[in-house]
Amino acid sequence: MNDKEDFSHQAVLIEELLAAPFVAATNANSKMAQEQAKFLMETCFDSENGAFSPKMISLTVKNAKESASDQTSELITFQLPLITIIPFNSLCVKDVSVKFDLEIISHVNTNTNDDENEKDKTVMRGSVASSNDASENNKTQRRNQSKMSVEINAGSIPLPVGLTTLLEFYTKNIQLKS
Amino acid sequence: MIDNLKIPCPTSECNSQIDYNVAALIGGASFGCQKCSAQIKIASSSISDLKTTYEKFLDLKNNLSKK
Repeated sequence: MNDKEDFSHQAVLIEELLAAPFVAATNANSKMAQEQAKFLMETCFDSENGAFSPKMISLTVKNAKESASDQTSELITFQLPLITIIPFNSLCVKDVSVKFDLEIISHVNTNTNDDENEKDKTVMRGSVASSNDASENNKTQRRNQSKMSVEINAGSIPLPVGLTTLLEFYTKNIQLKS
Repeated sequence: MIDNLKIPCPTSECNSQIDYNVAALIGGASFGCQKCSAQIKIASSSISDLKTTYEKFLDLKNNLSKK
């Protein structure tokens, strides 16, 4: 295989090459959201006949009543949904920084019509350029050393509005029982 | 990881918030309301449920961070 053929095998549409890291980050975000939602439903809810009810845990509250002459306290047990106690946050890919040199390998005008009014369409194919420090004489080695630098920062984002509303509803409805 | 959270004080007419920490709550610590002095603590019957869920949650976060 000569060099030209070898390059053409590596060539992809420029727009695909540019979009690839961001598509990967979006897919990662989607997967993380799915796993968190799955965890939430499996550990914090009981399912029965397709209906979900929150798993409850019990807390006790000691209510100190102080007066000048007497100090009494009563112990009350109350229940609240487990979901309100766990410090949920949405983990996601926050920033993606991509850095690479683009090598244009082919540049094709797809307009085969002779109509001059029709706009020319150009399809460019390329690949991640080889690193500059590689030996000029060894092209195979140069291609193997092609580098794309991708920096990904994960972080927390605010919870989805639906979940926030659910948590707010639950926390405002603590059940007291004697 | 944000472990310090707030929960509404369950005492009627208090309308205040009680700060708590999940890990300490599992460990049996009590947390008091600044306004009415009520103290909350996890019931012994629920420690296991909360501990299991919290550990699974931490595992999930660690796994997702590694990916």
